[in-house]
Amino acid sequence: MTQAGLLARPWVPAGILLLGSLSTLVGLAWDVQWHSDVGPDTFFTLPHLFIYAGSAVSGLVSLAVVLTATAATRAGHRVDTAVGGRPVAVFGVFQAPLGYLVSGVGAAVFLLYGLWDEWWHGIYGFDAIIASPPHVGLLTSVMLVMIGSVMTCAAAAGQAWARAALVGSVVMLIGFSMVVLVALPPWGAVDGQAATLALISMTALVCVASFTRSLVTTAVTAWVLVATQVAFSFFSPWATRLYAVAEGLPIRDYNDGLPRLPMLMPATLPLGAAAIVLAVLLLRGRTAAAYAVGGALGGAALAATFPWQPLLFGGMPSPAAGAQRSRRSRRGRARCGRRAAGRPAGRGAAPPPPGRGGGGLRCAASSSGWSRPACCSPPRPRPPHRTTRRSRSCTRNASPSGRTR
Amino acid sequence: MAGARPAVARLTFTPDTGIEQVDGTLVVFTPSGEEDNLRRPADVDGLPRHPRQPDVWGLDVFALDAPGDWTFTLGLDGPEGAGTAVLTVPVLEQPGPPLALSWLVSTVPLLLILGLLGVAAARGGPVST
Repeated sequence: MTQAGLLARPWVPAGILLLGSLSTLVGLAWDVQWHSDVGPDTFFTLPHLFIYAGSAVSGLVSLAVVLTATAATRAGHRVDTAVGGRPVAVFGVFQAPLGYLVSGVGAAVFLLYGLWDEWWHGIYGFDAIIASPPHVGLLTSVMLVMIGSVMTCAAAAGQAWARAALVGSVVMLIGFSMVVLVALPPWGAVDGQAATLALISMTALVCVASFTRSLVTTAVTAWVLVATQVAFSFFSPWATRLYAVAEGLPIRDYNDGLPRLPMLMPATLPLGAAAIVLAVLLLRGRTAAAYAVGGALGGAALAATFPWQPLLFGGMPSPAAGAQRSRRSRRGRARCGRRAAGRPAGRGAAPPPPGRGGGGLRCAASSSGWSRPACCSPPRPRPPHRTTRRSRSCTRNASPSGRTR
Repeated sequence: MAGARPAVARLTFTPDTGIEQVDGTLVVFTPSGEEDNLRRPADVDGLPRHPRQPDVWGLDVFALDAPGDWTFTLGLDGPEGAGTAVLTVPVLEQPGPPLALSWLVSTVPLLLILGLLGVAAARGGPVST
């Protein structure tokens, strides 16, 4: 029996799902940059609109496909597995194509974590860091949505559009997933960020290689990721500054302007693709063992190169790849030479009482947090402002990661 | 993860002469004695202007992620000489639910992803279209 609507054209819902993922990725790259360069704001910002609209679109198209597939099944039609994969019975009522079930569940869970995030902000106030528990729940929910998108593209294998869509969906999944790196604590001797980046990236790339059995597609996926990284490296700082000007908000002092999310994406992913190609050639076949060896080799290459990746963006490499808190102790700091905060001892001046600076410093505190009226004030010209830098002998490392504090 | 409510307070600092003629520095130490650069690059001590009130210095939103006494040492150097002010900020224990419980709830989607990958690895095979 013939099918109509969404089920007759698998590329329509899969394309909408891809657009939802793209919207979320754009919004995330923009939002991370906004929080880094400009500061906290209300919920109603353009980057948030992109993020939440992307999830809403993904959830709605998934729901539409599930309902359509359920109706078609009840009418006696067989649902083509090219529409999201094999249908799965849910609650004994619905027939949900697996890819759309996964993306729909991810979108629904995203809403729940959005509510929890709202409650979290009620306790702690504005976002001070990305890596709060509700944020991690939100971000991994989106990863689930994007995995569903990958599945819908993979399920349509053989159709003209499916290969390109699969590459795009995997690239967006990898690029987006890197934001979870900021939530990882130090692992001691192991660089947890580099290890996790390698694991996620190579798992995705090996899946592409083993599913498509095409080394060319594998390499193309890696290079498209790099192209995406380059594009977002320009986009996110540019969009942030443009939006700040439009809103009349200044850029933070001492902001390095480095592209936050793109700096977390694996720029050396082509090395991972090359490792898979090498393993397939050496082991003479596209076997599971070849993919495993290639994945391990590629992962090692990614983990080894990631700490040096900030050099590509004008940042400084760091073994910790992101720890912004200096590990200097008070004693170590005392050896760092002349500095305004430490001058009185050197000059024999008695420190003023706490809360009152020697230059007549007034401290004003408002426990009410950030007020919107101040944010809405007209733009003021930035006065020439002297910056105070430490002597180079006191520096330890720069912070290349997107970890915002 | 996050400190007590004072971490999100708006704190601004204004010398009598304004910020134009004066150098300001801020050095922050955690209760354990480590230096925290807040949002500034590692080699910068300077006081940043408040991100929503750029005519004065001000502390940004950041997490005081350990209970105890945090030390904020403010330094000024201007026409009237140099001076410092030391603010001790007591941070209470984290409010809200236990952090381990929060992380457990938050990792449910991650566990779903791992479960999905596990099932795919165990039952995966060629897709028939």
